[in-house]
Amino acid sequence: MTATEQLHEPWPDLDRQREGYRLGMWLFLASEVLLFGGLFATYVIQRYRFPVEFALAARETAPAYGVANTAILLLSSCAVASAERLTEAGRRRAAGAGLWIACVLGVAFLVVKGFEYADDLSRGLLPGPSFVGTPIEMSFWAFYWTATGMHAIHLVIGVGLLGRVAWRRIPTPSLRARALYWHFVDVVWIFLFPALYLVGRG
Amino acid sequence: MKAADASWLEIICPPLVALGLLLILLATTTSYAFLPGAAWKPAAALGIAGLKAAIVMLTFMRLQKASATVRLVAISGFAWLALLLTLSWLDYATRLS
Repeated sequence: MTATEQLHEPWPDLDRQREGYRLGMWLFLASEVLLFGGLFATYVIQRYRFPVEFALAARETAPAYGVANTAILLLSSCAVASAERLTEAGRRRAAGAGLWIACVLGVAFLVVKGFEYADDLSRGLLPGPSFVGTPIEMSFWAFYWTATGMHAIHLVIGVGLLGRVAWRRIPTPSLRARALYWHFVDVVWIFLFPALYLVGRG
Repeated sequence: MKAADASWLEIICPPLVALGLLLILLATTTSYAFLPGAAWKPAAALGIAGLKAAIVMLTFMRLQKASATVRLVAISGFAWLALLLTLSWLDYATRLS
């Protein structure tokens, strides 16, 4: 497709190489679906069993942070998807810019999350002896910290993966695999957002 | 130069359209959740989240143009998830006390 794409071992041709990277990453992502899925299962059960208390606990989250971070992640995914298409069109400089924009947005997400965590801590929303609320409310917040924490770790890894290709400016097929990972982290957040911020409102 | 600029935009047009749709859906789901007395809020939130995820996976992750094998692997992850959620929930839904 482009002159910049190199064929690596053990692939016989570029088409197989692309397919191999894509399939490998999707297989890994399917395991990630189940990793986050296990967490979501605890959420579904608790919300089913204790709808009222769960809604009360969820009302303590700060939706402004959630909306801002959702928009940031959607923008970053758009930047990565654009970078991928620009790379294929041979526009390496523009593609590099797209990847850097995505990295900056990823860091911005983490900064917003940091402010939100500080806010949550100051209001006694960390599960433990100092938690303000019932054990069931605490189980919502246990989900909140575990899920967002695990998501944040994925985001840090994603920034590293994208930063590396942006830094070295090598439009390899691995860019597509890295992009898939980034979009997946976005998909996880798309489901976390309503589960955490939109319950028990209005 | 002008022609080059036009095609530059042309290249990133599909992701931009998807982004526009995603942001509209974000605004919709948030305002609906805060609407007092609106019906079916959990279903609406989950449905819109599913729609957003579908847009991301079809356009950004290019499942629309992926091979059958890749699509199968992508779908299977979510199929196992559906089993996990349904069976875990059924356990609690069918307990007597």
